Amino acid sequence: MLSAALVVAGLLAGTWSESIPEAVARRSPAGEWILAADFHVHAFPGDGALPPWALRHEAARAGLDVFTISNHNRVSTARLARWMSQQSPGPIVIVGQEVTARGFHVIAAGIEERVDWRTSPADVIRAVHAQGGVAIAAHPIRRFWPAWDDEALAILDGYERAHPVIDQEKTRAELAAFDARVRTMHPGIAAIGSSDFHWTGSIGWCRTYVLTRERTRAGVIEAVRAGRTVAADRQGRLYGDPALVSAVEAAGGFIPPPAERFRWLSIGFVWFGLLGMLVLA
Amino acid sequence: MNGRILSELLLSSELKLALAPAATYRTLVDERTTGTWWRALAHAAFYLLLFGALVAITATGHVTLGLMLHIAVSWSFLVAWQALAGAVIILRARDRRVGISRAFELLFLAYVPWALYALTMTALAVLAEPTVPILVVLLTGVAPLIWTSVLVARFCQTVLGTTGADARRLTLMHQFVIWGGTLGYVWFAVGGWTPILQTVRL
Repeated sequence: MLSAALVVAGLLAGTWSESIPEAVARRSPAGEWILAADFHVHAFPGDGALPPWALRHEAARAGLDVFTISNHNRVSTARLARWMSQQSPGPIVIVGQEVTARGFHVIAAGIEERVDWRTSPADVIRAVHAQGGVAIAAHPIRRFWPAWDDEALAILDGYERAHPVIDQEKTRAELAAFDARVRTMHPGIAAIGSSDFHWTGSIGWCRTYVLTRERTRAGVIEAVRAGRTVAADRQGRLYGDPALVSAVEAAGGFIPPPAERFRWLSIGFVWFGLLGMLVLA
Repeated sequence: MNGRILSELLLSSELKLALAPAATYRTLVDERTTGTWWRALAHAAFYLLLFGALVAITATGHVTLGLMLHIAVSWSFLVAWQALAGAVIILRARDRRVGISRAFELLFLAYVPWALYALTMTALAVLAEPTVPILVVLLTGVAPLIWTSVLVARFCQTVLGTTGADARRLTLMHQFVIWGGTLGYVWFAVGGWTPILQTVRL
């Protein structure tokens, strides 16, 4: 009974202390909206842990204005999420796909139909563009470099400059090397920060600040295509065009999700309560 | 002696089973119980809620009632799949020593190693920075896999009344159904079903 009471107390404390930040209307000096976005999120059904409706709630809790559901080679969950999002206020949901091929992964954001992955990166990007979407090189670390030829890089819309792998020294250097290569060829390319959220970490762990003229899906996609983005890692470091980074910094820079007062207490109560229910008579 | 009495009083059936499967199953088979479908469902529901709460913690860094229930409901097919895997071995057993509902209840007790593993991994995920390496998760997962298989084999021998050889065969079958389903879902989740779905125009 004590164990069950601990679980209930933990759940109540977690529920009570949960805080959803109010959507902040930030503007750049040029008057564009600055929206917090995560373009690389996996959902259930798929290899993500959370169903779309819970994911949208968590996106709001993380202070995101926009997120893309990008399951591997599937768009059905994302389309369901977008349909559900139209029933209530909250973060904008963009339909996407992580085009998952043997040698490369591409985030296709703003598409409607599944993109065929059994082709070259350049052809994948063209197929994404044909649907009005944008193509983002996902976690472009060393093992994916051979696939990224000049033809593909020249038409790529964005690349993940900040991704959870940035926390490891080796892959941080690899992301920086890809950044240097792609910016030489394509200086106006969008720097993207994504969480690649599956089961751990959290949505919005790394994020993108999109400088958009309108707070709509189309506005966000247009801004990525035009390269008006700044990537942020979870320490709040910003990456991208220095002028855009300055614009985001001028508007307050990286805004972390608010701390929740009883988070650790609720986790501890639930964890010990469940352990007690499992091992004690 | 005092320690033994204390452990009898304090430890759950699940933990006693995990530590001494054959003896605990013998005791449980001899117990007279009522309402066992409800008890079987209660065990299944407990594992589902445990899964919902722990996934909420690892995936979002917090846990609320709503989040736990959303996750538990979404993934409830896992319990249905476990029940199906259980049905494959329980319904085949001719010398079963308990009713069907009680057999399901006792089989669900055998998942305690996975529950303990999930609790441990959640604690690591919360405390480790930035995340627990996937290789660590996969390699350490061998321990609950083997431990659960041992418990299921004991279940087959003690509760279903099979021989040792049949118990091993049924355990293999049980694990095959569970892991076949799991790999099928993973294959679906990473887009592996896409060519098949395209062929049938879905």
